[in-house]
Amino acid sequence: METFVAQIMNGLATGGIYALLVLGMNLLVLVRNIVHHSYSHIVMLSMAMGWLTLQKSNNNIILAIIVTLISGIVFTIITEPIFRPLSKRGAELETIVLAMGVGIIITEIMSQFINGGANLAYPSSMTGAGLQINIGLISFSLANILTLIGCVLAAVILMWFLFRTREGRAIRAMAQNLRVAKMLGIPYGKTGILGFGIAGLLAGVIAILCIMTLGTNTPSLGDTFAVKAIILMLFAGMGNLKGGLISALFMGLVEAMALAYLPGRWTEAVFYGVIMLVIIWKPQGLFGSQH
Amino acid sequence: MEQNKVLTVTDLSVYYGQICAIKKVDLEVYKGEMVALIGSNGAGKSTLINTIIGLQKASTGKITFEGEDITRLSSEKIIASGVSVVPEGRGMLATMTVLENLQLGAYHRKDDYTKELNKVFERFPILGERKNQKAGTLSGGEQQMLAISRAIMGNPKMILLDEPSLALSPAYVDKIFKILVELKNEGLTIVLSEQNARKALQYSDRGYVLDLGEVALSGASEQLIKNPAVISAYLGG
Repeated sequence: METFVAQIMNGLATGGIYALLVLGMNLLVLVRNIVHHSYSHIVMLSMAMGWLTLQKSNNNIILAIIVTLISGIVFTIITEPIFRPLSKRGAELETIVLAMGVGIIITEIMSQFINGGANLAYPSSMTGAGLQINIGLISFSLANILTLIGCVLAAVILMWFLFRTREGRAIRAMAQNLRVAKMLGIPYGKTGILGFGIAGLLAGVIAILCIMTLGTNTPSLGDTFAVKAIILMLFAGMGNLKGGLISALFMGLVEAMALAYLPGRWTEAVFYGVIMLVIIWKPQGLFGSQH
Repeated sequence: MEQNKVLTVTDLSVYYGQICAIKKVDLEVYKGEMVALIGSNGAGKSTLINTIIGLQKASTGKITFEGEDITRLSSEKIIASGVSVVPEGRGMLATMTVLENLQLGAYHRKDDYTKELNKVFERFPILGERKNQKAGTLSGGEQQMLAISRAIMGNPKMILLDEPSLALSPAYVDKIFKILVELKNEGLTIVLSEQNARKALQYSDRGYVLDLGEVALSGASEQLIKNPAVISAYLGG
């Protein structure tokens, strides 16, 4: 029972990170109709910028957090002009290829220039490693709880922005019918860059949460996350914000349970097995595409 | 008369690659007028409207709105300067609510639009009742009311309507035109493109007959409706 509850917390924290990754990528589906495969790589690169800041500033955590957030925003916005010509042509499939290229370049940069491609370890003062909260016999890691709270807050704020503000409405209008959005006077360039900026801020937040839960960063992290995030997007339905959230949390739980109760390393097989079944059963995604 | 001119199109040509969609069109719209652009499918009506709002680039010629040259301006600037559009096929944002559609009509406005919103709900109580419903769930006629209301939310000086009677029942067509006359009487300038030439000429003040991208005829609507060439080509008589 104790393991079960602890694993649920683990699963929800991992699922929460997947959920934010999917949310960020779905936001970019909305603003530019692109599949930003390299979004996870940007998260990883922002984590690395945080690590570099810690190295140079004698473990100044506040500064590292600020640098990580700004890196997320800057790196994401930089990619906007790369995608613009393709998304104007409505070339959906080609954007995946383009984004994969960007992802590979980021991975290469990480392995060449940052710590010689070796693991980046974050100090325990930032990850909160070892800190536990005990309720009866059950102990939760503080990092997991903070990650989960961070995920919920980020998701709620983003949803509020998209559904309750003028610019959020404009982004959704652009996603639904670009032509009509233009006829309503919504600027294609500015609104898109705003969407990228917000997705970038979210990438920075994910980077900080990843630092807390994982404690390390490697150049291959971007690929691992990217494949999962894209598959989760398809699983839930492209551009489906709420569906993406629920699916990601659910799959985080599946993964944690497989890790706890199945012998050996069956996590990935279970993760992709469940997804394969759903995709065969519902080709439009579990919750339907909203695009 | 000159200062009452809201829209002037001079010698406008638009090409899609090699194909000429609009050829040397001249058009004038005065304040408080309802002007109909009639012509068959492919005559260039939609292209003309899209070019006025900057969605289609003009190859040659000049467009001015309230004395200002808007030929090369971006759509968002043109719309913010006081032009609203009712797109062909109504252009509903179907999975967004009625209220959100109306709010998006006022996207470019920095001021408070509660007054206009209340006025819309007063004019069309059905939109008020269904404001939290998805726009896609409305009937065709209701969607057209919403599309017109959304255009008014921008507090425009001129609205452009692309085929407002398309795919509407005859009863609704009259209803929509009566709404437009009402708006005109409140001081709004209206330009509409229409394949239903009879209705368009019946309700409008002046008309332009477009044929293969050129202005074939123009004049007062009550004259055009009696013109034998117009009757035989567009009024089916």
